[in-house]
Amino acid sequence: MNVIDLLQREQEKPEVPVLRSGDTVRVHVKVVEGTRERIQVFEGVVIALRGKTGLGQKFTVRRVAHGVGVERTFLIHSPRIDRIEVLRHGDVRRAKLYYLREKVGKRARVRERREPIGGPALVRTRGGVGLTESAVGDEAEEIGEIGPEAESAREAALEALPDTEAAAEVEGEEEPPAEEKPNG
Amino acid sequence: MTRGLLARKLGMTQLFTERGTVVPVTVLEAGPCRVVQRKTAPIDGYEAIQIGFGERRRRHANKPTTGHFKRAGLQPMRRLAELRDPGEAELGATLNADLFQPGDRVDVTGMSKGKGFSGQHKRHHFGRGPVTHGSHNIKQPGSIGSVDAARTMRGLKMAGQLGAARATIRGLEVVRVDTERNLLLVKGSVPGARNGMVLVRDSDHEATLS
Repeated sequence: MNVIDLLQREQEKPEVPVLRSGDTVRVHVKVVEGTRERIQVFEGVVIALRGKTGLGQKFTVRRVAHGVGVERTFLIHSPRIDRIEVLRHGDVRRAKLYYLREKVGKRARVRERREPIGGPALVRTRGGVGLTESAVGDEAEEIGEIGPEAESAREAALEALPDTEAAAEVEGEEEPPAEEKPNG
Repeated sequence: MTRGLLARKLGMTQLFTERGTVVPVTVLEAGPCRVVQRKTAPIDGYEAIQIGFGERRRRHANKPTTGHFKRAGLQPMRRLAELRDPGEAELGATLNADLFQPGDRVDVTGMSKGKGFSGQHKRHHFGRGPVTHGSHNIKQPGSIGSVDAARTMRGLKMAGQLGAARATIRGLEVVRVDTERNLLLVKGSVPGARNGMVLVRDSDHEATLS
């Protein structure tokens, strides 16, 4: 493997969530105030994704705060980001949701997708896309975090997965995890 | 004293700093370089060292070349460069990326990418004429002098060969030194294509000297 790729890999986070346009996310950003560092939460809708994988991968989050639209673009591997929570998946039909900028009030909402595409909170690791280790290992804890809509799909996923190791090896994006695959 | 290394440009990427900002860097494989020859004032008229980098295949090295390297106890190398004001350096000594520290300012010299015979727009950033309304003056260079002079001034900017010339970018910051892999990560871009040879030296650029 060439040196440039290695340098980039070294900087990548071991695990990042798989985001999709329309997702409602909560981004925990580290903010430096004077000498103190604290964590600020930015919650909103993912309106654009840029880059598929790797260090340059970015996403834009839009929220309306006090009647003013605020958009922030983050590098997904940035050390300034402490954590990204995916709260909801949106029912959207395009990759870039720039049309939301012209919408106000009720029209600016994104409908929630009832059957989540990714199933329970998917993460991208070096090996590919799969469930978090905690999601497989500890059922009870994850249910609360994923939200009710993911529950049915998650259960189906757990049944299909023979053991924890298989879960880590689920490959491919945007597919229901392992359900249609023989042996993970 | 000027420190210097021959290096191979591997390409560009970006680094995150501790504060989370992103720095564009060029990755250079810097060394191992060997001191091939010492030039001294009594013999050569000036003080310098000659450094070499890379392997040269045996069949690409003729006898005089092989002999030149043999004096320093070395195998023939691919590229040679001379450094003036060298300071202490033993013949045959190895120079690696650890010569430099993060924060050092360097000048990087290399062969720029060749662009061939280029027009004025690309070569000298000329403007263009009107595109429509019957204009045929779109890519013309304009006037090349006055009637009074009765000749064209020397050095007038015209179309011609662009690139493939020696170019130096000065005052670049060394962002990281990777001693294990012998890498030098320099902020910003560097002349030439990937795999091209460059010479990295201590900067003598006034703007970067404090």
